[in-house]
Amino acid sequence: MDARALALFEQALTRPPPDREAFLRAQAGEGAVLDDALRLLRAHAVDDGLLEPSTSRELPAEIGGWRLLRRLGAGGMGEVHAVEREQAGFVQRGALKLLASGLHSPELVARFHAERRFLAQLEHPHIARVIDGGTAADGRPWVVMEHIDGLAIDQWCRQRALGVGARVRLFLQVLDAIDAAHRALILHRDIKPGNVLVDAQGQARLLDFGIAKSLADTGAALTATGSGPLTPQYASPEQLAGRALTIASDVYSAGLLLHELLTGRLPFDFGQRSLAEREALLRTAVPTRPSNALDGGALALAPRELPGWRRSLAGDLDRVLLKALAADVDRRYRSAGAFAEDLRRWLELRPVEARSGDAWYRARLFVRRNRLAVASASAALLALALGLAIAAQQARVASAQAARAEASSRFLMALITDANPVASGREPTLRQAIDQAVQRIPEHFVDQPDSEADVRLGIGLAYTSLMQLDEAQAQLERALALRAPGSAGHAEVLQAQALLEWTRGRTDAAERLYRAALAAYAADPGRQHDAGEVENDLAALMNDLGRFEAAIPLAESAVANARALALDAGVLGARLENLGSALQGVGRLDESEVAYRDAIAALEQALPQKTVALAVALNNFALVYRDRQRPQQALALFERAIALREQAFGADHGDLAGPLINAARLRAGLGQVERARADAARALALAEKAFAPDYVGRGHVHLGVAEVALAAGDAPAAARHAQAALDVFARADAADPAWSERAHALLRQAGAR
Amino acid sequence: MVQGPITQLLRRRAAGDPAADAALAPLVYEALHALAERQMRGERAGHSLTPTALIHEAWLRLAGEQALEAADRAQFYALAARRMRQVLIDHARRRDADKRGGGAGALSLAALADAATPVDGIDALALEQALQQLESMDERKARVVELRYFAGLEMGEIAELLGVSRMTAHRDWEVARSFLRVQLGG
Repeated sequence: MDARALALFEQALTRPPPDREAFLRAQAGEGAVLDDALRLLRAHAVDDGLLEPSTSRELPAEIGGWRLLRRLGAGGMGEVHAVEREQAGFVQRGALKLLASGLHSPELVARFHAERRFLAQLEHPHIARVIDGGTAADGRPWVVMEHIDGLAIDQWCRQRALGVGARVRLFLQVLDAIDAAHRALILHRDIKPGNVLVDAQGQARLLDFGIAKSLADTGAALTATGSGPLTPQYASPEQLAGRALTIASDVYSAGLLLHELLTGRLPFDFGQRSLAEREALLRTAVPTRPSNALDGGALALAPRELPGWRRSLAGDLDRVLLKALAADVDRRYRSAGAFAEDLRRWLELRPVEARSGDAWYRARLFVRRNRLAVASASAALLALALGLAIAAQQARVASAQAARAEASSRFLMALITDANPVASGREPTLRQAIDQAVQRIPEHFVDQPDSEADVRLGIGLAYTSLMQLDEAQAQLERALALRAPGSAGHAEVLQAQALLEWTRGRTDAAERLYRAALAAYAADPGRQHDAGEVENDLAALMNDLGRFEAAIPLAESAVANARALALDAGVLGARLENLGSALQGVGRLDESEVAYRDAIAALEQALPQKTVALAVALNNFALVYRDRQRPQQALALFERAIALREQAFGADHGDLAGPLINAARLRAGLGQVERARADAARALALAEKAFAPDYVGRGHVHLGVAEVALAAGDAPAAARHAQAALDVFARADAADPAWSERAHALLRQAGAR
Repeated sequence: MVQGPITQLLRRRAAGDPAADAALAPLVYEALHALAERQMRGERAGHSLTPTALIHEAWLRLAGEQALEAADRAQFYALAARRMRQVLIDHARRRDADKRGGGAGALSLAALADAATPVDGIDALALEQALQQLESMDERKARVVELRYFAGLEMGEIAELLGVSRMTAHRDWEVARSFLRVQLGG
């Protein structure tokens, strides 16, 4: 055999198993070398234990009354045999683990007994039970465990072609077992696919507590081994570093297991790296988002199935996995139970804990601004006052109702007039006016609960816009108490509360409130317009959460509603824009383009009121063009979006930073380097003025500046801004890891110049 | 702590001292020899021991009750593995010669080799031939086989001895095993 075949085969082994054959075919030119290499690859797949040292070839026929049937395998500490015994007239099967001879150092024997002791403490449906144990004639300790006729969990998932949800449910059994062990103060320390068997009934069992450790046991025998982990691929960073292990280490290893079940591979390919190098890599590297790391071959997925699989992972599951796999122990799930709880939230379509804080949510807003109508506090109040005035005019039949609407409207109009926003600055004055108005409400609306509710609702919305969230909550709670549950008026308050919760980043509460409001409106034939509005709000919420599949039917229904009721162009345009965004999110770009075009046409009819909404639609539509590699068209749309924003807010508004940096990146790609650098510099100046230092949007702008600098050949500036971006992402909780990845890539490119 | 002479020899050998190697060889040989004699006296009747187990026993005999470091132990196993490989080959050749009617040397080592002949159906001469072929292409991989198969060392110990990462040692083993499987017609 040729040495080249051997060398090629060795290289192939550094690749994932499904890629190896293709690699050899691509690399080995000649026939003979390729043939030899392929023979080696086939020989590698044979698992016959050839030359594997087994210390005792001739075992006794039985040990401790158990008949030895066949060798199942050899583990880190000895051999495992299938055994059976007859007891009380029935045959009991088991797996006998025998410590290898020549290995019975006191330390290993102690470990072996420790495993038996640990397992005896654990009674759990998903942990293999200990049936028996003892010491063989030659002094070797043995233990018999429950026999599990099953497959390793990864093989089982592949064989049954389980979908994402089914894999998560199966994995939850494993987490429950780990959690039970932790509650008994036992760490497993060697969680990997081969240690989880699944039987024909789909029940998973956690095996091999061979290197388990009791958290309560401080005895040196079990800890002072100084040896590395038995299975480095599944070890946590702290395990590789040889530091003290905690339940967080098992959480990490379990995260790796789930990563493998969901993507077909582990997050990092360590190649030939040593343990120390791996440890350093794990500490600094950011894993690729799992949804972008799918190995279709390992998952046995057809190419057409990949996009759907990716979509199921994208968003919440990505976040859950990355939280479990955080290098920093403090950022990981606190327990296997917390990890499991978040997965159950995902299964029940509830927002996951991994989306903690609102940084992520704000990050999304940076590009896809929230499309809600509430632009400013005074606008909120004005809209309500005008609405009430119109209602009062129309409600001539029911004069009591008209009187009520008029009273509320007058109060709110007075409030706005008092604040005199045109003459004297803006929000601070309005804020004071509202604070004073709130004091006057009790005396003004004696025995007029309906009017009082109108006014408190309007003020609650205004406070929300002013980010006075506690004040808003107090007003909305009182308004809600004044309205009859199940009525449309009640639903109006729920809708306002939903917006408040969303603003706070409590998206699960927001969703629940929107759904309650929707149910109330839907039951009232006179409030179909409002039902459509709530559907639109919900679609916007889903879009911001990355749950585009859920957003699509809601946005479609909201658009159909606007068309059926012939609502004005501005409303239709805003709803179409949400639809376009949702379709864009799932990659249905053709349909997304149609929705955006219709949205822009409608919003143009609604100018000047819809200036901001139009700018948002243009910006998002430009992103579709950018994704489709049509930079010229995308640039033209960005330019228009920028011009509209300048018109609406002036040239120094922070909201301009996003579209400006997007335009700069496109220009850099088109070779318009000077203009790109000017736009990038302007975007950065605006972002530094308008954004908090830990706001991800600021990091995004730094990234863009770095990209443009690199295109202009200014490597030092590129490196500086890529680092600045990383600093922001490190501070911003839950920043999208893809951005950090991008920053690292830019740093490397800048370093290579 | 006072270290026994074998420890010093092992450490000097690890440091690349050829004299230490020369001094150690007879010690190892003697240990293996003693084992073989015991074997002949039937002390271990009914037990077939693998090469690994034999080396382990030789080690216990040499090192006795001394508290030795893992690195010294690995050095010894590496040394003994080479010896054991040679013992097995010599024996296989002699056995074949006997079949052809040649003279039968009454060497006690024959008994040792009998005891140590692997029962996994691998022909010792075929394995030796394949190993030499592997040695000519990639010496380190042949060394890994020696340490793993003949000495029964753990991957971590092998990596340490050869000064490579555990991952590399493991891949060497995988590559070597696939190669041997092909060569042995497995």
